[in-house]
Amino acid sequence: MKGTGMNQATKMAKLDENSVTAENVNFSNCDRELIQYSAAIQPHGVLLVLLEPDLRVLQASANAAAVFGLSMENLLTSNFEALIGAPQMDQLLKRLGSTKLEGSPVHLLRLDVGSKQRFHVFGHRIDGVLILELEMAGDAAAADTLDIYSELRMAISRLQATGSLDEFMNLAVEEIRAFTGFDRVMAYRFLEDGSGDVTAESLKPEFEPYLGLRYPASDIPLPSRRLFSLTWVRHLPNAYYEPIPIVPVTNPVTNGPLDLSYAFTRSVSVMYTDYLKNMGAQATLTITVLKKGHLWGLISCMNHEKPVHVQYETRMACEFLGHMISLLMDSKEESGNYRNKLKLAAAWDQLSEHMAREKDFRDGLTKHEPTVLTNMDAGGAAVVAEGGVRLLGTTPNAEQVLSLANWVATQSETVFSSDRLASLYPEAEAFQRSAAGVMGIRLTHEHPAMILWFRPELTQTVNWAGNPEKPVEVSIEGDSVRLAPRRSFELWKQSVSGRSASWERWELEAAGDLRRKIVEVVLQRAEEVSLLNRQLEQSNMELDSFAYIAAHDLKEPLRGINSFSGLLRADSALDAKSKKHLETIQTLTQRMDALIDSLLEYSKVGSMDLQLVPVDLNAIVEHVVQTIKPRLDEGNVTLRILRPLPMASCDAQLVEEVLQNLITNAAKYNDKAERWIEIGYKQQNPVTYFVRDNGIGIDPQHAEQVFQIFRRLHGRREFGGGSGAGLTITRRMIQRHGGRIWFESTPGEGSTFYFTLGPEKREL
Amino acid sequence: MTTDITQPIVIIDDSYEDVEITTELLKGLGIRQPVVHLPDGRALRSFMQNGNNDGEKTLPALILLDLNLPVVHGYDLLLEIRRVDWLRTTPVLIMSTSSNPRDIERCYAGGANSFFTKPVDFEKQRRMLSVICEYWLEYAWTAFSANNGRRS
Repeated sequence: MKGTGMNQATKMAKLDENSVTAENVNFSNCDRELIQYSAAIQPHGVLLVLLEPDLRVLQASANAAAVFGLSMENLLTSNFEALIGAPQMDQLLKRLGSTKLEGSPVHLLRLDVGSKQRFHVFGHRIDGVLILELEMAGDAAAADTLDIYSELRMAISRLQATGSLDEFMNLAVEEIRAFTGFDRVMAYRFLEDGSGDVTAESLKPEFEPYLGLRYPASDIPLPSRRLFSLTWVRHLPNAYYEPIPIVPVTNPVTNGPLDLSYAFTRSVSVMYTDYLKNMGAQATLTITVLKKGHLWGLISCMNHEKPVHVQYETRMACEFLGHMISLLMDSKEESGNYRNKLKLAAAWDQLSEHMAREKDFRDGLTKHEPTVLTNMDAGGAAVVAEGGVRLLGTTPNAEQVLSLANWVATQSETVFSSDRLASLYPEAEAFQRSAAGVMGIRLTHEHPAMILWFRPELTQTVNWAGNPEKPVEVSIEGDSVRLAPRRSFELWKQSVSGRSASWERWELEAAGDLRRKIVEVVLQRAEEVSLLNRQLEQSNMELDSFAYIAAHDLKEPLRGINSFSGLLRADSALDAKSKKHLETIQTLTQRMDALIDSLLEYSKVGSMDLQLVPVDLNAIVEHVVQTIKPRLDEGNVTLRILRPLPMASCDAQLVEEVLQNLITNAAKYNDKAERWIEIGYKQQNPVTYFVRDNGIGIDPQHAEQVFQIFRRLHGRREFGGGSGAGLTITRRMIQRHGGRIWFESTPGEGSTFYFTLGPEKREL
Repeated sequence: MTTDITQPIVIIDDSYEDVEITTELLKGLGIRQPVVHLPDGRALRSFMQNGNNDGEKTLPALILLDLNLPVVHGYDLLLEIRRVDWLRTTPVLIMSTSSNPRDIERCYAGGANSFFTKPVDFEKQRRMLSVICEYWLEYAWTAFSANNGRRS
């Protein structure tokens, strides 16, 4: 039997289970190879198929005869005891009786055959037979167990001391290379799509590094990956081995092919050995790495210069290391994430302090270091709120960010993320260079207020080890199709579009933390505002009760002063001059009385409830004119209403007082012979009313003083006097409506007082 | 004259100065009825129970009631007056410094017959008192004067 032919047969079995290759291959072409199928093992082992309980030899690998110094015919009629002697047989039977042997082979004993050959014996039962695999043991085997133990212990403590997953993996491959002596040791990580990449590597300097290379999913197909989760360590000592056939081919008990599924010395797929040969590898050892019970990847060891048979003891140590790496990796990754999260949490704390200080929380998030972008692995960030956008770093433009925010707001998650935004939101194609990936936290439900982070399109290229589209080469030999793994592992660059690095779970959690912090600050601010409002209300109430008390308590002595002065004046014993002085006292008390009334009025305007109803301002003006008509007539004042005033939602009584004050002032502060007053409005948002006159005007430098209480710009006896509270009260009435009052004036020519009766529309 | 000359004018007010002026003004207006000054609720309660100093419960012609009083507010005193049988129908005029709409409303609802804000100005005060006296003492019927057939 020619080795290559049999390898082809083995290959077919692998191909079947692996479903690798191009679809255009017709598998029936491979029938020839299937017929030639027979079981075989690798030459570093010897395989015996025994029938219990007397352990009669049913089948044996072709190399067994030489090992036991018998002809194959004699071997196949022997009892195993005859081959190994009674003491070792007793030992074996004891182990067989006390060990479960279904499934993976179990190490049963060390066996001496003759004086020179030492083997490790592994056994497992299948299909009613016992399969023993004898693996040749090296000279130093067993002797170094203690050394291995202490080396392992030190390696593990060094691994434990690492700070991050990267550091950990780099050390792990280093330790394993030191431990096993392979030319190259790589940490190979499986990605979501089944492809994998080399994340850490330790190698002899003369070899080309594979670090960072990506391998297509078909290089390690799914069934193989599944196998990796079942066995911790697999070893191929020599890719160029000559397979050893098993004789006879058929299992005499089942009359079928021998099932070697569990045999670790089983001959492997030629696809695999060819693949390794094409890669320039002569020997391999792979250690499974699990993360939280799921296959994370492999530690893959390769020898390029020569074959190497890794001894059982070392393999066990590797298995142990595989367990340790799997266990530690998890915590390394978590502690790395934890440290990153801590860093972010510290940044978030500072952020919320900024937020609390800034009036506009968008400023708090973007104006100072740290910003929302600091310590976040993102190219840019945006804060979207109240129709405005703040951008940091590399981002799409403001308009694009706004529409994106509107779209993200329709997503159900409060923390949204995607590493291929354009596949969900096609508009993102326009800006995927800067934002192929996005993560967003929504701050409110009503309108899109959110923070977005952007990740640029991934490195733009993936470095494949060879063309990933052609992991298999198809060649035609005569009338059959032959499949072979690709020969070229040259760097194959492929551009990847529309994807960013993916958002890690801890990053989503950190974003969620920030969201909670912001909401807290916003809520706290709302509380502060309502507390201020309550305090303001309280102080308003106190002011009002003060005004009330002032009115009562100040007026009482005032009344006394006035009255007793009046009584005195009636006293005939006083001379005229004294009576004049008493009259002055009375005038002063009257003025004080008026001032107190103004204060009372002012405080009343502040505390009264507004009755907002639709009001016909024309009727109000008419009523005012009627009320003050005598004064208008007396001053020869013409009043013009430029066009009918619109309806307004306001408190009719207050607005009447406003208009009366303004019109009275317009009539009063006027020294022209022909006095006029115009009343009109501008159709703005909100509607702006005005009262214009051709009076004495106001110096603009007194713009604020005219509105200050008891502040008079003219002498008491000029322009009819007044308490100096009129415009103050007027302004308060307007402010109670949410409006404002201001004026334009040219001294000597006239003034125009403008006012609104509602809040101005907020600018975006 | 609808009132008896012996019927007192009762002033409930904590301001002795105000009462002094009112008394002077009444004198100046030619009002001869006695003025009884009750400075607080305690004095009023004693009056309601025992009448005047002589122990005789002479029905007042008018009660002038200030609102802002120590301890018990004028409004509460108004309600007390209206609960006392012999004073139930006596005119009570509120004389307050405040013109608080709420006070005005509740005092009328509580049985006040008028509500006045005390003017600071002496002359205005005099005119106001003059009108009050003319109205209540000269022209208006009270329950008492009607029953006693007094009308000059």
